[in-house]
Amino acid sequence: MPPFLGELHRQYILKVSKDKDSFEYLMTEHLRMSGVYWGLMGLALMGRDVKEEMGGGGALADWVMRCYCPAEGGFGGGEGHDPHILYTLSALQVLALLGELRRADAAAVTRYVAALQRPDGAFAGDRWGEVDTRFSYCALASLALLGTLRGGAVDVGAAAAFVARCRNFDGGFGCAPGAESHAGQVFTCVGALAIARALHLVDAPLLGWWLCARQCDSGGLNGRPEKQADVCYSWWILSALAILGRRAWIDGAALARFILRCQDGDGGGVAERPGNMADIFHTFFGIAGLVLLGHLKTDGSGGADGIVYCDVDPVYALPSALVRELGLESQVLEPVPAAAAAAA
Amino acid sequence: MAMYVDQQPLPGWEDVTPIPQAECENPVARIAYASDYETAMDYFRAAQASGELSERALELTADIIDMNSAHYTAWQYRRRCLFALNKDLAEELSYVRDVALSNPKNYQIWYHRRAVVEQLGDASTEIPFVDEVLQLDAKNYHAWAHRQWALKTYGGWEGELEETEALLTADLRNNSAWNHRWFVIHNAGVAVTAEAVAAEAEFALRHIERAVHNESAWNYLRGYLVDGASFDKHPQVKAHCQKLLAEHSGAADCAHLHNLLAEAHEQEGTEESLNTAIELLQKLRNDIDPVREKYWDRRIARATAKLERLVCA
Repeated sequence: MPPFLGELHRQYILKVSKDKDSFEYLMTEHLRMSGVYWGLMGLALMGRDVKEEMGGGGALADWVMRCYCPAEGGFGGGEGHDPHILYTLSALQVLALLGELRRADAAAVTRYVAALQRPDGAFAGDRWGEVDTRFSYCALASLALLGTLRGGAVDVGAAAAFVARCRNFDGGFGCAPGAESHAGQVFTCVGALAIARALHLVDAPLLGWWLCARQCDSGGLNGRPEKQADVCYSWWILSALAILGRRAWIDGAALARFILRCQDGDGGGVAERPGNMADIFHTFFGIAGLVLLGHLKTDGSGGADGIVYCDVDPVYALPSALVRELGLESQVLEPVPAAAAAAA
Repeated sequence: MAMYVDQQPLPGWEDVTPIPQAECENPVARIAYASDYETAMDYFRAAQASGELSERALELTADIIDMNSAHYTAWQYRRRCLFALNKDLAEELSYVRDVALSNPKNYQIWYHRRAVVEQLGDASTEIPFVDEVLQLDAKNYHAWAHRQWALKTYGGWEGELEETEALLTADLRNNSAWNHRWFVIHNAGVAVTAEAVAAEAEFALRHIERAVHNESAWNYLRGYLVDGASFDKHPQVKAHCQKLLAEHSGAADCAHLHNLLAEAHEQEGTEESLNTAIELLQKLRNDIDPVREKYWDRRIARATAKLERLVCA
């Protein structure tokens, strides 16, 4: 089993966050809000104090608020970018990680999200009207973070009903009714239903099977049948399985080995598959996958590297301690008992 | 502004003061591409700030998209310009096609295309366009979702089933094509009768014969066998699978085949069939598919519990 290069990844994340002159920095301006969230989460799961790592966090929180569009109530991916529900969730997650959630105008952001709900329960991503189940997750998670999920601003039941219409014959979920099952969409749908407390709308045994069938010979997970393994599915699939109480159905050692082989041993960071270039997105999901697998110990019993890793909440994709502190609730299924107990 | 010392103002924009990226204090030498992009973005911010919807703004969005096709705000601004200027939307579809073929994994072009088609009120170009993208990548998720939207909104179902057959003949492992077949069968307005189910099961089994390890075909087949008596209703499926197990060269280590047969035997529910199911499941757990050991343990436990209830009754 290759070693986990925690400190190297920390250096990688900090370097990327500071290198404002890089080509990559320039070209990802429009989704920087999500990039910041991925980077902070990578640090947080490795037990870092993210405010301290970000020089106090004040300047970063100020930047987040500069991406807020008061006229609409949503956040854009970068300054001067139109608001979008994807970046609204990322913004709230970043503020939460910095302990600055109070800076968001809960009433205004709630109104923004609520206005995006359509009569059939689906959510548009922005005022242009594109619909995708990812936006259902972003909407419900955003309101949960703001504490306004159950206040009647959105129809949670209708939101769940729309997600249920995106369930397919294989137990999986797609971006819209009838669209192909895809592991990323499965996470957002199962996550949305977990927040809505409507997991009865999932065929858990069937979906659990479809999810664990994503494990390839390499030990890695793919996103759909006959596609290549990619580290990010370590998160999308493992978290969905955790919510469904079936995390054990993945061969954890084989997956851990795959993720560890995706590390860049020179510059740090994690790539989508062994040998490719690292990026912030895959770095976060690789670390989160290793934490969910229990490969990185969160009880302080970790190895010689001295890092105390932090549990990650599979529904909100935030540190579990933060989720508890914020009082965020969701439904998760009891872990399916091991074989011996089941026979009774 | 220090960064414009070397650069001329952007031609056609002499009357505008560009707005630089806020965080940038110490520009260092960059490659020319990045410098062009920055210049375009600086003028774009200025246009957004003034709310200018013009030909030159439209061109500017094309420049930005050319350099960074994922820039969603540029796409949105482009739409605003297109609609405000009442541009030829058929021409726009042609432009989007060019961008799509160079950037097939891009999310933004698909919604843009949809918005333009909705405004145009004519979707006749869409299936052929999706076909072109699928030539590059037959599993492009956005392309398939777009095709489904076009069919649901504007119709055009004739030929879709044949399309899936052609794609599956070319690559029977194309999960998207299997999904689309299910979509067409269940959404084209024709009732899904027992005969239709039998025909689809037969279709799946034909492709399974060609590549017995093909997960998609098995999932498709199983999709039709969901109710508690499905194997009774379609005994030919179990018979076909037993024949495969006995005769097909790839059968011995085919997890999906063993899995479906185990389900069929378990559903039958007699002492003998449950024992057969358990045997198949143990083979899966120990030999064929040990990576999913915990899942098979669960299935074995379930079948064992059924057997025990039967024997004790």
